Amino acid sequence: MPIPKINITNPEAIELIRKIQSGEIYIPIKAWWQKYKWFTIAGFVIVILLIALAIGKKASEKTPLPVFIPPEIEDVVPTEQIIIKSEFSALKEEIQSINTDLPDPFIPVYDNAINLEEAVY
Amino acid sequence: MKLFSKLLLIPLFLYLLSTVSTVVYADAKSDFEFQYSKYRQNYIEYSILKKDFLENPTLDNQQKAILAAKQTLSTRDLAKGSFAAYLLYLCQEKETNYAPIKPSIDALTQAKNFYLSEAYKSQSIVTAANLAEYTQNYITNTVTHDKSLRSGVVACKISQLVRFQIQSKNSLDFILPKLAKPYSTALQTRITDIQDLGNKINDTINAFTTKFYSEEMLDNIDNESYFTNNSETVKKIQILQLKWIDSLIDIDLNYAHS
Repeated sequence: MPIPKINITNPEAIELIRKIQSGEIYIPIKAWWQKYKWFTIAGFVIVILLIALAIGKKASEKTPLPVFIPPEIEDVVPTEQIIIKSEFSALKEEIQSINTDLPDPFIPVYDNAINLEEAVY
Repeated sequence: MKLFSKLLLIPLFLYLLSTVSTVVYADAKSDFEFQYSKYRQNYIEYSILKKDFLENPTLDNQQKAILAAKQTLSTRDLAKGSFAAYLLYLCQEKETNYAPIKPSIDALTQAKNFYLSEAYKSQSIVTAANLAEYTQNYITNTVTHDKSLRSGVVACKISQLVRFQIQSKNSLDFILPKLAKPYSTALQTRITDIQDLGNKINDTINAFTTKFYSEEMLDNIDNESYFTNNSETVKKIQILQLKWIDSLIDIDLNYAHS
């Protein structure tokens, strides 16, 4: 089946085709590229880095981190000090505990004058 | 039926026996504390009733005050008697049998008997005049025995110091056979030093006891400085005894264990 030939009659379309064929339509794009070329490249690089980070994070989550276990240190056993206690230490403690403050035991105060007379002060 | 009643009596008898033995074994200190708390209680009551009587001297108030006074007199002397018994217990608990303090032991025994007899005697009071007369006599007669309590406290402390001396000497006698013979020069010096120090402490205690019974000290018995001066001497003797026991421990650790 032969393709029917299309006759373009719309002047706007004809003008657009002419601009495409002559390359006139790319002039503003080239001007924009010239102006923002480095911004665009930098943005692109950042997007690539962000994507790489996201991929790396996903990949790291799947692989568990190796747990670092420090090597075991042997317990330091303190040198046993043999305390020789004399059998007379108890007597010493007994002597130390004696109360030297007199009166011990304390002598209570008693009223020797118990009567029904009015006290004279 | 008779057998059943007899069986019932056995637990009752055992209960009574346990109660009596508890009373007998109550120690001298707790007995004194109990009697003294009763005296304090009665004394407050007596003070209130005496005040009532003096403010409103009716016959009824007088009788109430006399009864309260009698009760207070009884508990006061029981408290004093039990305090004397407590001091006797402290002086004699370790059986030091230190003869120089025997006068204090005798005086405390007499004081205890005096207070206990007074606690009984005061119960014959009927009138206010009886009470006044009783108290007048008591004030005169109790002076010596009240002084015995003060000197008894110091005598007990001397007894305690003597007991330490006996224990210390026994410790030295115990350790000497354990030391290797012949003694080295250093060990011999230590043994001589410790024996000299022991004799010095004995002399100090004897001198303290002699001074304690001197007229000067007996005249000074009611002064505030009486106990202060004696405390200082007791402290000095304690320091010497500690020095002695440190020397003994030194010998024990360095020579008896090697």
